[in-house]
Amino acid sequence: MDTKEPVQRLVLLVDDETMPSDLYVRALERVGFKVEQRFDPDEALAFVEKEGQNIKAIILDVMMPPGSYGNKRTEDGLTTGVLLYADLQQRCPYVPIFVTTNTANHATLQQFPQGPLLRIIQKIDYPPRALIKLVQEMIDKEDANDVE
Amino acid sequence: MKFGYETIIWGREIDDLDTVLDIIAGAGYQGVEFSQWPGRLPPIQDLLKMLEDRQLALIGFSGGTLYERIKYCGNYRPEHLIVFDWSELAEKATADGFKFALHPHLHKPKHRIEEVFDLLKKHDKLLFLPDTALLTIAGDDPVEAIQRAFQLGKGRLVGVHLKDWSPEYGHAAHRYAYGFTELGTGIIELEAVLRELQQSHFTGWMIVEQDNTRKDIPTSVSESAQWLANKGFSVVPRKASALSSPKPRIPAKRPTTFSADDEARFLKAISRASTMELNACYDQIAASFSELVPDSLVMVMMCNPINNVVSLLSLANGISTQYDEYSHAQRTANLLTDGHYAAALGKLTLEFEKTLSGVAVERQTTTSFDLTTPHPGAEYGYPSANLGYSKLCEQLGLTRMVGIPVLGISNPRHARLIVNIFSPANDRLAHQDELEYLFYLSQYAGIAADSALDEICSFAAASVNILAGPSTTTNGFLEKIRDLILELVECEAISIFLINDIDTKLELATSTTNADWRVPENEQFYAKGEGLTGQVWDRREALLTTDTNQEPGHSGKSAERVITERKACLMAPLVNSRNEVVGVVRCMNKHESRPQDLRMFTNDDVAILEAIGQAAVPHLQILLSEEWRARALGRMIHEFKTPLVAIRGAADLMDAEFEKRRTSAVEFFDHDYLEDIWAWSDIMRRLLGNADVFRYPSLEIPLQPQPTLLLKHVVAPAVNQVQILLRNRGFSQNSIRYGSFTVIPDLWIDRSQFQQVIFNLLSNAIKYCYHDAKSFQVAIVGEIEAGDFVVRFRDWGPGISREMREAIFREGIRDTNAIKDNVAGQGLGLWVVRKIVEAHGGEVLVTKLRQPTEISIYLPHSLASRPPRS
Repeated sequence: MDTKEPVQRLVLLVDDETMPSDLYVRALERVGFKVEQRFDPDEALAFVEKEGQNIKAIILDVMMPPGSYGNKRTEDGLTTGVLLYADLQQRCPYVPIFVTTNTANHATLQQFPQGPLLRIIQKIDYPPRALIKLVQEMIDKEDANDVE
Repeated sequence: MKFGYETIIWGREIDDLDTVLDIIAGAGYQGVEFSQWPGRLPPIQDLLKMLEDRQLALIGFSGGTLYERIKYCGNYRPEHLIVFDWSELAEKATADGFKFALHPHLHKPKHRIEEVFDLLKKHDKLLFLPDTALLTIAGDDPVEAIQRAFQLGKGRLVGVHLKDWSPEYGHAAHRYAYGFTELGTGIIELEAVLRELQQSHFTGWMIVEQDNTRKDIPTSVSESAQWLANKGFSVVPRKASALSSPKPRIPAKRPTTFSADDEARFLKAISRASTMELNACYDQIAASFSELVPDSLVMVMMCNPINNVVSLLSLANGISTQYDEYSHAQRTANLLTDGHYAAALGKLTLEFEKTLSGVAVERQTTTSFDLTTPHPGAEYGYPSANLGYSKLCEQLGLTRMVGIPVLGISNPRHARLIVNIFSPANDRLAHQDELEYLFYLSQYAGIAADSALDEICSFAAASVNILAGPSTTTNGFLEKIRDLILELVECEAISIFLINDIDTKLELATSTTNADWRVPENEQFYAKGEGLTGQVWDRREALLTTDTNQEPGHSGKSAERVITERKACLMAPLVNSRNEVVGVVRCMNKHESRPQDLRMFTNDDVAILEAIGQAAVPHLQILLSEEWRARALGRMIHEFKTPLVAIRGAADLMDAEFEKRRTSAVEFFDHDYLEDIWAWSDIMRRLLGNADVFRYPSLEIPLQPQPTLLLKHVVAPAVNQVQILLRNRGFSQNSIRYGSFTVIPDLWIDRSQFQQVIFNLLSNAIKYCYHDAKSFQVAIVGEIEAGDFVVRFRDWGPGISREMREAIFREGIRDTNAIKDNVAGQGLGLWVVRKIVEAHGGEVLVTKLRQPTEISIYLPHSLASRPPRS
């Protein structure tokens, strides 16, 4: 594990559940990331509005609380997740977003608009260190693009 | 309480009234209500004498027009006369000492509790006579109706028609009356009704009524009486009845107007009509009457009594022959509608009780009208009856009309069709024997029409069952049903709405035109009773209308895109076996495929929709239930995966901690417990993978195909995942061998699902090698055969018996030896293998039974270049 990463690289982690996101937080912090954890879409959006410029990566759980999102009604948690993703992506167009999921349903996952900075992560395939490795690679790639 | 009997069971005409009254009195009833047209009853004083001789009371009359019944009574005042609505005539006759009882009846203007009580509150002289079966069929509770009647005040409830019904023939107008049955043999809660009346010390009439029976009539009359007697009511048979059923009425002698050849030709033509498609059948009926009565104009009309209207189905004009058939029909149609074809629909849906057709239907017999009189209906108590096509009469010089009600086979109260014959000759068909003869012949037309309708209903139901076969999803099935309706009901647009899981909303499931909603996005549904669609849900009965905008309660909340301007609409409920509404079908604008085809939706369309619904709802419920279970299982799998991911995550961090401290689990614990956690959680993951496939028994397995090297991405990881199973059984880790797979390129397959395939085959081989651990051996090789890719999986276990060769791939099937030897499992592993392989367009077969057992997975060559077809 590369521990020479800059200490203040900021990752936003959005999940209404604490498990396994707490493990991701611990793993990210172990390798020097600064992690901001948010548990609902409004908090996440508010944070992005304020700190969007500094965020290096976003980890977003696919299932968010159902009910409503903004002024839209959401029948299920996936719809909330899709809407939140769209807003995050719009506000941070150059930030890699890792959508984590436990569902294998391709049709479900296709509801996320595809893009070069979107990665859909099956949680069971990505234990914390594997996820962090991927996050680091994507951030490095984006940083390299910025230099170019 | 007093118990009486309704004479409707004897049909429209009683040949031997003495015998009928003897049967009723003999069974123990104390009164009689007559449903026949008074023209077919003896004079009132004679009738009263016949009743008195048998100690029977006269309860009331319901046959013929109201005017005719009032006229028949003369100075006598029966306990009540049945009416289906309030009228000026009833108002006037009330002042003259008559009492009228409102009788809610299907296909009559007032038949739901709310409408009935609105009218009863408005007219305090109006009495109430409900029918237990008809209220139940319409979706109301007879006990509630009785309770509310008592609240109106003493004496308003004059009696109750005690009627039982069995739903086996459905609700369609031409069939439901077949379901009337002897008391105590149907589904109507008669005991609750009787209990309620007893507790309220009701002293009025309980009138047993049964429109038809499959038994002989005396037996039927007596069995219902016996049921009442068994319940402790005072219906005591007076004597053992040895009476026989009256013989069916022999048709009237053929009048000289018609020859034997005419009759033979007519019956032959009608017989052909019974085998025709429904529209052709009606045309044939019109043509047959036209041929029978030369130089006449024949209209075949349908009573559409839900809306209290009649509409034109077909016409045959034999009066003038100066035009070819097409323009001739079109010209006649134009005459019918004063030249405004677009408005035709509205003009030809005439208010039932304002037409001369209504007189014939009320009288249940053929009636002849002189059109040269200013108000031809006045004589029958229909002063406002008009023809609705005066221009036609003027242009063609029509002076006489004969109205023939074609009574339903199951239910004489329901006129299936009306045949109107117009003639320019005023003395034509004016004699009673001619009219009787036409009525007799018309019944064959009724049989033909019912037969043609039943044929299309049977076809519809059979089609649904065929469509249900290859259906994979609720939506797919509903789309097929929608298209079937489109074909059979012939309309411009269809939407199907389904009620949600918690019975709170009626939501759009499918539509031919993407029904437009004129409401906020989050209100795209109907509540119970909301708009016409919600009303159909609430009322559990079909709604037919020529113009939705004119209907009370029309909300305009959503609409299908249609081609023509008018908004003729048919809405019908989808009802399950518990008589609960599960959805609503909404059809817009019947096609006008032919110029003379002035069509609105009819009861035939309702019958077709019911047949489709009856066949479709059980399939629909299975699909919905299957999908609900799939969703529930999916949620459970998701719930299971969360702790599994957390366990693996914790193990991962523990491993990282060991690394940081420059040690390992083996060094620390003297055993690699972390590896155990990884390995067992892999097993658990694969078991969940099987469950994941299991939740899609009839659906496509979702795939995420990507270029995959079989050895690297599938076989090796799967072999790795079973290591702990091998260790557990003491099998050598080297006992699984695999080839290089070099002949197989990258394939577009779902890696994870294919790992599941190999994992299942491996875990099966491990599990079933229960005789000799040392014999355990597996070989996996990749080959090309006839252009396709093949993965051969061989093991040297106990083998597969010949008869199980195919069966082992079926859901839940396990080898008998496995059960005998207590090998754990659910019989899902190989079924899952087949599902996954088939989802990739491949095939899996047992290609060798034993030593080695060989299972071959064939994958299409196309996977080398593109993903499997979804």
